[in-house]
Amino acid sequence: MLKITNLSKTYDNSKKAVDNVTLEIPKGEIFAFIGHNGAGKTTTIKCVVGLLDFEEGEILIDGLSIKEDPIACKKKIAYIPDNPDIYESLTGIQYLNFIADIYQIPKDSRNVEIAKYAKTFEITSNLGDLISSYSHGMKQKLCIISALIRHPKLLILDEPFVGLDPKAAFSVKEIMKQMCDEGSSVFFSTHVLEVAEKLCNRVAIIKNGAIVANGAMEEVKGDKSLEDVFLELEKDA
Amino acid sequence: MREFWILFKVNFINTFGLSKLKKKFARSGKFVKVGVPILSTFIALLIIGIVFLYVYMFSSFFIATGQYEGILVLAVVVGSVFCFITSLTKANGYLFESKDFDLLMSMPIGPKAIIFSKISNLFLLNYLSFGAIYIPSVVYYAIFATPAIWFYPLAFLVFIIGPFLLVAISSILSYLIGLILSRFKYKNLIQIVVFTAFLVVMVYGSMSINQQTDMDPEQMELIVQQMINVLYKVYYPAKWAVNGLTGDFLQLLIYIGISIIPFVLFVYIIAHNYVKANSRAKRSYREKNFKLTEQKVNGQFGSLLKREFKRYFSNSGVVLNTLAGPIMSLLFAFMFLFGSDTFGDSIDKITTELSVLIIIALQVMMSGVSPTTASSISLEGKTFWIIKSSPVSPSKVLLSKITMNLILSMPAAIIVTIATVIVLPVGIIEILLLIFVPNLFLILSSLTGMLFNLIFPKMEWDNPIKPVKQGLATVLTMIVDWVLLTVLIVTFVVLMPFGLLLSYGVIIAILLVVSIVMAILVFTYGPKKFQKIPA
Repeated sequence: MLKITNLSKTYDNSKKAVDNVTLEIPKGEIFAFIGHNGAGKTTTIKCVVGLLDFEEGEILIDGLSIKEDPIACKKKIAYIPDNPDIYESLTGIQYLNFIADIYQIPKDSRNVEIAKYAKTFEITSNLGDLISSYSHGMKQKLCIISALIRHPKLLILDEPFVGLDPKAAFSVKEIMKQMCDEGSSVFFSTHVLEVAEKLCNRVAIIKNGAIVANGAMEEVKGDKSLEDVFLELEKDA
Repeated sequence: MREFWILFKVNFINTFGLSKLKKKFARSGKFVKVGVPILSTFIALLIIGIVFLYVYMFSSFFIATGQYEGILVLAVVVGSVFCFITSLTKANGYLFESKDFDLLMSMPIGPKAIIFSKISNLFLLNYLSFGAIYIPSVVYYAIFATPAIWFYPLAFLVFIIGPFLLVAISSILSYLIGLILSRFKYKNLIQIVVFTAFLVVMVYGSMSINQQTDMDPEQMELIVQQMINVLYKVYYPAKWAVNGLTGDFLQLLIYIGISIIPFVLFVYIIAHNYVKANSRAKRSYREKNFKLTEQKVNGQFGSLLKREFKRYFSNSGVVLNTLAGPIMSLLFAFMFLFGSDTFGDSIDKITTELSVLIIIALQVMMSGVSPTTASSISLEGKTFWIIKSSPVSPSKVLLSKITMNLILSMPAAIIVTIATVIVLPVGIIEILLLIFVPNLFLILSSLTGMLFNLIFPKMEWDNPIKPVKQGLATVLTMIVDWVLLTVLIVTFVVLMPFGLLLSYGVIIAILLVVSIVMAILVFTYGPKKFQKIPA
């Protein structure tokens, strides 16, 4: 579903933020992307979703290049950033309708999906309020709903559990599993290693812009915990 | 006191972005290091010169009649009005809706130190507003009235005391307005309507005052006295200040008391209610009894356009800075056409052709130089990721921004055209000119703004007014539009001896060609630049 080959990205002639990264996420799998702060996770994700231009490498989404055919690629993706900066002057329902219009979601489907996910994340009664009145967690929930109503083939999340209440975090994990069962893929970055360990089929660890471990979860961690593996790799600096 | 200074220093650095400026300056080359201070000094001197010139223009009534006291009245009243407007628009954000409220209140600092640090920054802005009028006026008074030496310390005292009462009143008003408006869904729209009405009244009022210059010189003295009385009605405490400055010390004491006591009371009340006031001020509109009903479906372009409008009207400051042009052009054109009093019967004295040209120039000069497109990409700010990660072509996004600008600016041009056709005996050529020139100029300026904003986006800001007022794209668009306007005027003047039809034709042809070139640039080079802007 997602194939990143030799991706490199440099900001303003400084050192490489992402250095020769190669990753592959097959259909129906949940992929965890872990690394220390500033390791290059968000930069990689932003290149994948077309937010950042990159100098070297190739990114294919379901066989299509994000550079050559960005619109077709973006139709298959739903991205949720680490910080839910969304239009504060819109109400929740206006924002969802805007996203639904952009992704050309038919009327019947959008009515059903918005109602379903708003109920799951318990924000139905807040959808008429201005987003400026929302808490961080509520904005995060709205972002997640706006992603799920599109039925993406590839769901990309940057630190999705920050600010979510335990019930919402549980719902997100369940939805991720369900999406993968239906053939979609999930690629997310996280610092919560226990969640990654329990939830994901595959994992990649990035350090100073380069991939230092990559593969099936069981292969990468062996008989240790993911936390032990991560800390050992960090120590090797 | 120590806490106050720490907070004041941090607030000052943060408000004026000094750290960022220092860092940028340190990184920049020799050319910038030498050029920026020279350019800044030049701009500062230019602004001071313009302010002195304007103050002299308004003071000239009083100087001509020898009623120098009027200069002081003008200084205190107009300075106070500026001060009041500054506080009214800034106080709520500075005092009650500050983003660092939670952080500060969690620290072992008393509310008084926090309030004083916030108010001090508000005072700095107020002294700038007050001083802009007060200082030049006092200089003119000193030159023409040659007062005694004790005048100068008193003038300084009045300057220092000036903003106290105004800050107290306008802060309370600003808080109450914010509190009331937070209950309305369309609070920004209400703010925009009120401020626009205020603007219209101010412009109309100043035009009405100007017409008095046509009066008989013998009546001038009486009129000036009337003007002083009118000014005192605007801000009565100014009478105590001016009387104090001209020798009545008791009145000066009253002025000091009337300024200081309410301010102390204001600080006392706010200090005791600071937490409550802040939590109330930060409330946003919430829909009671929201029910999820059937949703409406829009096309991509329609939805993008709707989004542009909603976001644009969500900030009254942005609207007033960009929409003031079309509103003013409409107002001036209407006053020119219908209010012959305010223009000294000018319309009867000049030819129809010249009237048409004046109307076109008014429209182009006022509404064409501040297009919303020059800041529309920058205004995406931190939310740019939404549109950039969406499956929508950049050209469509750019088109939605240009369309919004034209929807906002073109109606004024159309209304003026219709009004002109009704009032003046214009022929078909003038009608075509009235239709084509302003509208083509609006299209061109919209495209120019778009292109400059794509090249010079300012995506990082803490207040949406910053990319509008301080964005390089806005300044460049204005400069290019003014240059183009000059080219058009020169072309017209040069070609006029060869016939009006030829000169009109050439102007329209120039506008058409430049617009087409600009449109090609925006829709070919623009999307590439759009993709390069990081989100």
